[in-house]
Amino acid sequence: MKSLFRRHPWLVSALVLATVLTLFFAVRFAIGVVYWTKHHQEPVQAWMTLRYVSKSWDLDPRQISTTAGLPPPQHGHPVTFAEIARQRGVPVEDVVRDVEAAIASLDKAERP
Amino acid sequence: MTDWLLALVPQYGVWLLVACTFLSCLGLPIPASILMLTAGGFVAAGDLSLTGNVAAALGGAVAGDQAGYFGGRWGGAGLIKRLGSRAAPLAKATRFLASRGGIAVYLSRWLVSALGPYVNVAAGAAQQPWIKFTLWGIAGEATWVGIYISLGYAFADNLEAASSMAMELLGFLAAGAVAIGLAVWLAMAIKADRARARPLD
Repeated sequence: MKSLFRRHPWLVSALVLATVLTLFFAVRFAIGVVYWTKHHQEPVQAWMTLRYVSKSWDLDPRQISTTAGLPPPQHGHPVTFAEIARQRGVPVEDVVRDVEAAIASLDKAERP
Repeated sequence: MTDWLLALVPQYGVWLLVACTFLSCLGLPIPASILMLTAGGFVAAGDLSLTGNVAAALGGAVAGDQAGYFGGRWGGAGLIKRLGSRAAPLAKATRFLASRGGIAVYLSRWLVSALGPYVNVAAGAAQQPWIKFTLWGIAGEATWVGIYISLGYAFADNLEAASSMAMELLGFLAAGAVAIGLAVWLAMAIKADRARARPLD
């Protein structure tokens, strides 16, 4: 092994580095999988749509839209919360807050 | 930055995928894998259609490959001639592609996707038979699209976590491919060492 390194220092170093990097990414990926299994319910954000939130939180999209006072989801025309806020001329934080409140109350009703 | 990228997907849907996979197959640094993953998530949520998005991503990618291939076919041979002896490694690569390039085309679509755009041009310049390039290319792009859209579909509940996982996966594949390449290189170097040492024994 030592003589191999002496004969091909660059090649052996590069191989060790690439192997370490491969293992590093493999470990990070595994950590990501574990994290994912424990964090299914993703916090509401501007890029999300009603259906997306309902999928993430396992709630009925129509119930969320009614409770949050948002337009019901339309087929084939997904609208992000950022877009809804823009149409209404309000900051997106307001829409996100309404959705969060709706989720909290629906979640409590379903999983007391 | 990620938020901004994620928001584009429900807004522009299939057209975004067509454009991004096309441009990324031409070698532009566009995070097409992450966009496909996000599209997979919105498909799972019921916002986007599965067939539409798969067809869009696949269509864009295959069209991008063809553009690279014909670019290499019409412009590549002249480039090699102009470069003269400096083009020796390129000529070697093109000879390899002409003879046994099918699997190289396939793997450079998804496993070492950073090489994809160069392989397209080289395959065209090497006059790899068009039908062979196209069939292996479609198979490879279908694997690429399939991996990321299903990953997004399966991990739709938390797309941000899923997209960072996809980054780790891409890093793993790239570093792994480099490690395998270096291991093969080292094995060849050791073999050459032994061949040189033998006459002295």
